[in-house]
Amino acid sequence: MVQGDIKTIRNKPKEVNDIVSEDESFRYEEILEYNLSERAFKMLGEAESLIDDGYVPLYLLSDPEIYEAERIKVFASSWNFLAHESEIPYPGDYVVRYIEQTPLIVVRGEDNKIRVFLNACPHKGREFVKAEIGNTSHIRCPYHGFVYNTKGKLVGCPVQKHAIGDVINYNDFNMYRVNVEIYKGFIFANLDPKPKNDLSTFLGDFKFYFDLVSNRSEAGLSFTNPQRWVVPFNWKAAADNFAGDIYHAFTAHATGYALFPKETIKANTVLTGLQVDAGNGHGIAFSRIIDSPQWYGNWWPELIRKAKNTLTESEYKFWVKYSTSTIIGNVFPNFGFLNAGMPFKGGSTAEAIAPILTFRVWNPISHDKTQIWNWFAIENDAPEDLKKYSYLAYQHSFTANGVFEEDDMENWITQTHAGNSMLKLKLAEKVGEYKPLIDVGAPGNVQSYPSDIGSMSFWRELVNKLLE
Amino acid sequence: MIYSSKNMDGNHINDLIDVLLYEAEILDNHQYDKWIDMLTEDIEYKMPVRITREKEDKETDLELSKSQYHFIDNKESILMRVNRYKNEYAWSENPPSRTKHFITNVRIEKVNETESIVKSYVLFYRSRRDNAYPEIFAYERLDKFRYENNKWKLAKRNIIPENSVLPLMNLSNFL
Repeated sequence: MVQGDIKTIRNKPKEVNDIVSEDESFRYEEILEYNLSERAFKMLGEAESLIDDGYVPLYLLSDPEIYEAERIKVFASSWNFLAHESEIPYPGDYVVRYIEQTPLIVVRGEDNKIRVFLNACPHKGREFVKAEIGNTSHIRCPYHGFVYNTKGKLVGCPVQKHAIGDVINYNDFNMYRVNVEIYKGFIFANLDPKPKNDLSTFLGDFKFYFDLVSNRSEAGLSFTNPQRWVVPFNWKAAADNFAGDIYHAFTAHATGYALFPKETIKANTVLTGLQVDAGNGHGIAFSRIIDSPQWYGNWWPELIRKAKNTLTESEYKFWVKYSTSTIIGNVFPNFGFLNAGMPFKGGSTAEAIAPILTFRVWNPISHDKTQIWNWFAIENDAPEDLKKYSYLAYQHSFTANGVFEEDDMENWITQTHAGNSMLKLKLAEKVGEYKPLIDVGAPGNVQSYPSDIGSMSFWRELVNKLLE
Repeated sequence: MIYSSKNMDGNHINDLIDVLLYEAEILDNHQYDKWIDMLTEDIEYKMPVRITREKEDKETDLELSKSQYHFIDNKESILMRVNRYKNEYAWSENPPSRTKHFITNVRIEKVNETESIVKSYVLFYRSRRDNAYPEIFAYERLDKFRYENNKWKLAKRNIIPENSVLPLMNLSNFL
């Protein structure tokens, strides 16, 4: 026997006999039941009517029972971003990812097809893989030696005839498979064996906006390894922020913006920003510091021409007209992204600001703890100097020690802390409520900056899902 | 304090250990201007992300990400961070973290009149706000010091974190 906690096997081990054809496993398991308690049902009913009036009850953020309900009713039935195709470029490449705490393997099969499996052996539930990334031709459980191909099919086990014989229903020994769909290279999975909608329907009108960061060049994006850290806040604080809070930037990130060249930050241009409730709980915001989409004009004007070929006509029109310096959004429930100019080498001049693109998952650990997964991304055909400076600008601004992001943690931690209150606090997320919706030739409900419209769409969808 | 001496000048060894202890003191006292003075103009300050990999893949080299860093700084960007921390609106450090850098397992790999290579382990202890329980983070430093104007200055620091997932709510302190 090959020793140790083995996942990486270049070829099928000799001691394992072939017992099956190369047929694919189509084994999907049901998700657990969850019935709301009377208490939770009452709280959510109250939340639903408060949200209609522009309030968010703080108990939605921190209550442990609400969190328990979210596990099944939100995460187990949404399309969750797991990985980008560029993280597993070659056959046999895999990464280990999570939906809430459900452990998953995202693997590119020998047939180049991407599949997602539960990281647990169907025999006794032992997790197959403890490494977070690797390459393999087969997957072997280190507990009893069951070996699977990258399609999730059992190909054998030690002393197989004596162990499971010839007549057993081998489907019981196939890996648990999870539904997977890919949008523009972004791999999403849904734990529900019969998803209520497909990924395209789930993203809905938000595709229009998501394309603006994911589909500007035919060459596609490349992701770095994720940076991960654990922070004592509830995941929803970050989702609320990315879905629609750009208003906080000039206070919370005062020291970050102080690094920008003075002449570029003018109140009148900032106020031409937009905030969007794109439906299904997806929110996005656009703020304007300079008149160039995310500062690409200074670095890579060609991208603005390239995007004309990949974006739809209306997307392109919107992007060059409105998206300007910052795009920040959140795909429901917990997949955020940011595309903005950020300072590298100390900032202070326009030449020291480079565009960055980052994606992150607010991966929930408990009602008051979240693991942040933070990726940098850039178009494969970006100029080499931009690749370098963009990464530095990202690392110095939107990471665990980013001069911007560092300060976000304090907001989310203390919101979660305040949520432990015994009082029914109702928060007035009413910024912009008085303002009319505007037509900018783009889908969803759009308001001028500043507005809580995107954040409120997140909370509304959350409560809808919990009450479903 | 444990250190090895391989045919090295005893004075230099003591000097370098003093430098490490002095640095810990000024970092823990947030005396960042004094810290800046300890860095060479061409300082390279890095902490790559650590990746959990299988044994057969495991060479420290592969375990350290080539694409993602917790720190990748030079003098300019360190100054940017330092100037920010001086500002009362740098919310992550206001109120400031209380930290202790415990330096141990010091190994001086090479020392001559102009340069030294020093390895050490650090246990970083941090208390914030009214939390009774601290954050604790261990890492190894691979340092290069250069002798300039009668002082040992830090020219290169590679920080090798023990964790693939940081057990810190942010990284608002130098390591």
